[in-house]
Amino acid sequence: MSKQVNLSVGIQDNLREITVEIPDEAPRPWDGTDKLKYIGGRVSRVDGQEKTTGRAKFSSDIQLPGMLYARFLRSPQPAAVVKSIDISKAESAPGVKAILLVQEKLPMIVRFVGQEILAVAAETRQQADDALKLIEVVYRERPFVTKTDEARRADSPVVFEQAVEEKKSEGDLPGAAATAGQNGNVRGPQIRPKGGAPDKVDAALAGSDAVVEATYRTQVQTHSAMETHGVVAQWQDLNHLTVWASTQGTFTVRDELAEVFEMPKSQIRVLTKHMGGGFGAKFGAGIYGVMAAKLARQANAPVRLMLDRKEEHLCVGNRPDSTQKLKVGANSDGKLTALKLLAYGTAGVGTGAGVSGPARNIYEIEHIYSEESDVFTNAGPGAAFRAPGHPQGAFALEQAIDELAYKLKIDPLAFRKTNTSKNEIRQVQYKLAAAKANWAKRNSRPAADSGPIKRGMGVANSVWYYFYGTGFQASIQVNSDGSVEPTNGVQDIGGGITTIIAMVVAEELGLKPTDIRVTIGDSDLGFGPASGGSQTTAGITPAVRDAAYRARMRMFDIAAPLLGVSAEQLRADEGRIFAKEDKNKSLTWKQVASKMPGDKFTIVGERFKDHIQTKPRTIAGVQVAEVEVDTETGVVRVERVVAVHDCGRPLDRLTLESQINGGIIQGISYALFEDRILDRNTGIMVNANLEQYKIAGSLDVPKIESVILDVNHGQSSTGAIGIGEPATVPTAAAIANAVFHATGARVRELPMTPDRVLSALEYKEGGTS
Amino acid sequence: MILPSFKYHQPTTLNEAFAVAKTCNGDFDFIAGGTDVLPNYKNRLNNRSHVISLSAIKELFELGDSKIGAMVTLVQLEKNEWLLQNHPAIAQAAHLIATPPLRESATVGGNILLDTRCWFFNQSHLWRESKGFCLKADGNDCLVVPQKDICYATYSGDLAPVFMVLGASFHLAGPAGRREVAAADFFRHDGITRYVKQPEEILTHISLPENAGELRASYRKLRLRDSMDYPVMGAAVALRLNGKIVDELRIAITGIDTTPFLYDDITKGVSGRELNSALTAQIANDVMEAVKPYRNVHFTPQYRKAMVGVYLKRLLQELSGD
Repeated sequence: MSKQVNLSVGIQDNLREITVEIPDEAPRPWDGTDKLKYIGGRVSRVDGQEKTTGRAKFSSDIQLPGMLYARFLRSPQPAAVVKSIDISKAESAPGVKAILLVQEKLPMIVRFVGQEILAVAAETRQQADDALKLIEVVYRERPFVTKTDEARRADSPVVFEQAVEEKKSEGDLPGAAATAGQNGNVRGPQIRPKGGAPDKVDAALAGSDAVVEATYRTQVQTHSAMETHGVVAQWQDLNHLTVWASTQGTFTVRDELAEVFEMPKSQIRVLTKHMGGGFGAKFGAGIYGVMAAKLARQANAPVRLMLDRKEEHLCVGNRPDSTQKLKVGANSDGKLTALKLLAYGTAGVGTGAGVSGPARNIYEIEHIYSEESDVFTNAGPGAAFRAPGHPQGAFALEQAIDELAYKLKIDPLAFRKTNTSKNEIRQVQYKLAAAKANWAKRNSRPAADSGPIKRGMGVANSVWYYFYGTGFQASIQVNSDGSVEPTNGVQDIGGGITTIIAMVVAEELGLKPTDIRVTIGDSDLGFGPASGGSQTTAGITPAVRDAAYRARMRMFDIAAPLLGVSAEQLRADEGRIFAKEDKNKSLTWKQVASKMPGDKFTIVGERFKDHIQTKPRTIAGVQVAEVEVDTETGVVRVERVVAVHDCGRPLDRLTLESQINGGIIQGISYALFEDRILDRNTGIMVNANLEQYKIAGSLDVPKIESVILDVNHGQSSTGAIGIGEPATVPTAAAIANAVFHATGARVRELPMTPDRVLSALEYKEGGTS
Repeated sequence: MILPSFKYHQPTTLNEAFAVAKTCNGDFDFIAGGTDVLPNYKNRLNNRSHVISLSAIKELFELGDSKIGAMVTLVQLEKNEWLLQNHPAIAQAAHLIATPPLRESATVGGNILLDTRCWFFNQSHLWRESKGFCLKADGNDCLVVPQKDICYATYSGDLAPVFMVLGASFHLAGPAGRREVAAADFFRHDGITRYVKQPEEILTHISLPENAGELRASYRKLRLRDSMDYPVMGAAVALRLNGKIVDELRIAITGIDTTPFLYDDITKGVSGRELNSALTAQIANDVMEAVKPYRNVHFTPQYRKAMVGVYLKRLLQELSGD
């Protein structure tokens, strides 16, 4: 039932042979020696034209006959009890078809500005908005707290009276929901020792030749995906619901709706044909999804409920802030000895402010102790956000590592080399990054430039993990006209999985990617992964390849008697099926297809466990940032970022580079601009728009040079891993280290705004640093 | 955000525009490129029932011969050969405004007459309701400096300070006739009334004095992002040197107060003195001491004030060829 195959695996061209056992029906995994036509090349998005010409239909483009528009009434209070709600005037307002309370029985407790109170569906959006103004809500105000540090105090107003269950989403790290105690607004700490109890760590630190101890702070960042959250919900009849959703998980939305409405999953269909980004905040149905479906049922009409930008900022997710007290020690031989991290942060009324991933998973340190807590505040809930916890953690850790290297008078890159000596991939990455960034030419002394404008170069490591799910089912239908239609329920959140599926199928069948008609984004199709943990490609492509491989075998079985050779002798390429030994024995793909019995055949491929069971594997990366700091204005300009990331077996280098570019741009934006600012007197967000919530624009984007590091493991038939998250992890840290190299000043708080940079410079001038 | 309903008028002459305005009983806005007015309308900030477009009034589009029509777009301004030759600072300032697509639509007049901006004003209805409405829209008091009389929203136009230092004049036409107001005298210290132009008057064009070309002028803008942002401080300087001796020096600052402000009282006394590093530092410091930023935009007042000094020092060095 199984066969043994030899594979060449390793980093780039440095390959070694391994033998792997795979099922008989499975294709030999692509490895480092396969010469492939499309896979590993640069293929433009198959849906690129559709998107750029505006023909692509996103959830917010869906128009249905008789469709109503729904809007939420949201609390203007950060903490209050809703005593009464009078909807009588709104009910008779023009166009209003349904009004539903989020919580049917009062009193209702609200815990942040923007919390949903009720939703109105009307014939136009304007009518829905107008009706909201006619609703009278009586609030009994309660004390509230918005600052993380204030919320930790014993005398702080308490956000939750009872223990809070952590809500999990597909974007969270495994183990993130571990139970923890709760005291006032502080939930935790979650303690994770590695290599000994805290006293051992303290002793190791005390015995170290050099120690760096500092506190780092990072801000709240909102996801700000281009497309807002929202759905269009339509009931076909009382038992069948269709929902067009802007989501990262067609199946997770379906499952949540099935639970809420107590319906069989098969009677709910979730569609996501095109989607404008999620970054981790779009997994469930959301209150908006549930309310849209309820309103649609009540009004007996389809309902659209898309959020606006303000609601995006307030209510549907953010990257929690963090305060990280970090202590790291090393000996004069350059070896790290111990690390202690005490961290807390607020995800508002949500949970998930942990940051210790980088501290525990990058360096070879004998004694590690971390203690992390969530702090509840009266603010919108956090949500998984592109490498949850990691950009924050890396910002602190990588600055501390840098500082320690300078303290020991060791080159920061060499120091990292020494302390990741067992990681072959990192060792190669350092070399590539140093060469590309011209690290050797860098002045080893910080603040070496004269004049007010100073340049610097800094490095930081990234870490992420290899995740994939199983049980995904990709179908491939081959029609008698020769057309090929792969299908799966997975959604394309912008990473380009549509194109990747077309490439995998084309490669396997000897066709062109543009020949393949991919249908995805539909929960009525085969089970597919939610796009969280950077696992979409690693999750679904082996199932796709499996199905395509077996479809090819089926086509060979049809072609073999026609060509008078055995199926084993056949090959497929350039739209033809031919005998390997005698290329004159050849038919076009279409000719063979026309001979199939019946009109079409369908093959289902499944995602099984990897052929090679590895222990949890980290995904390594390193980035070097070059900055220019104006020491009189404090303005930091990022000039160049060199990024070297483990990309497994790259499938499409073009979409891969796009993901790296996107991760770096978002990292720069996080490092320099983005900041959710709450008014402490009212609890409202001061900059809930895209004018005052600053996101990097095209002129703020530096030259980005990425090196895609091919690492063949042969673990699955495609060897794919994810890059969506790893690329954003080290950017802010690399910029901060470059700012230090340029100026000699450490900026330990994000975002690194000009006034903060100036303060850091003054602090340094004062000689107290 | 969607626009509220309003009646749209498109007169073809100034007189027709005045006539339409008269029928609106004050409930109207003139609109040029719309890039400032319409976002405010979408947030329901002082929106009116009538919008009178100036886009069909031909005389407002003239450009050249020391005259810039109010309807000239910012893109035309930044690419105009005559301006690039004679008054590069105007083109330079225009280039720093907003983004290329917005500059295609935004006009010179619109930028000069830009509504003042404030953290407490440029917000959604829910936001303003939560915080409490402010004097500039729906409320009774200023939330920046509570005193019930004056709105302390910040003026953020980039062109006005350049026109001020070049000694430009703004030309107004109204039902009662035409008049000319020096750029320096145009603005009023109140974020609501903003300037001397009456609501029924239309800014027709800007004229530059004949000797304006003899001045070397430059503009620098402080903002968080290079891609787009209003100035949180902008400095314009015009300078005429005789050797190393200052013949004429004018400095205007925008993005700090309710109006752009010309610091003639500081720069007048400088004429006849040698522009050395000590004098440069003194001028930069004097203006910096004179500005009064409020806490109503992205950067702190302290930071914006400090940057006045840095920017002026650099501008003076740039213009004196130092």
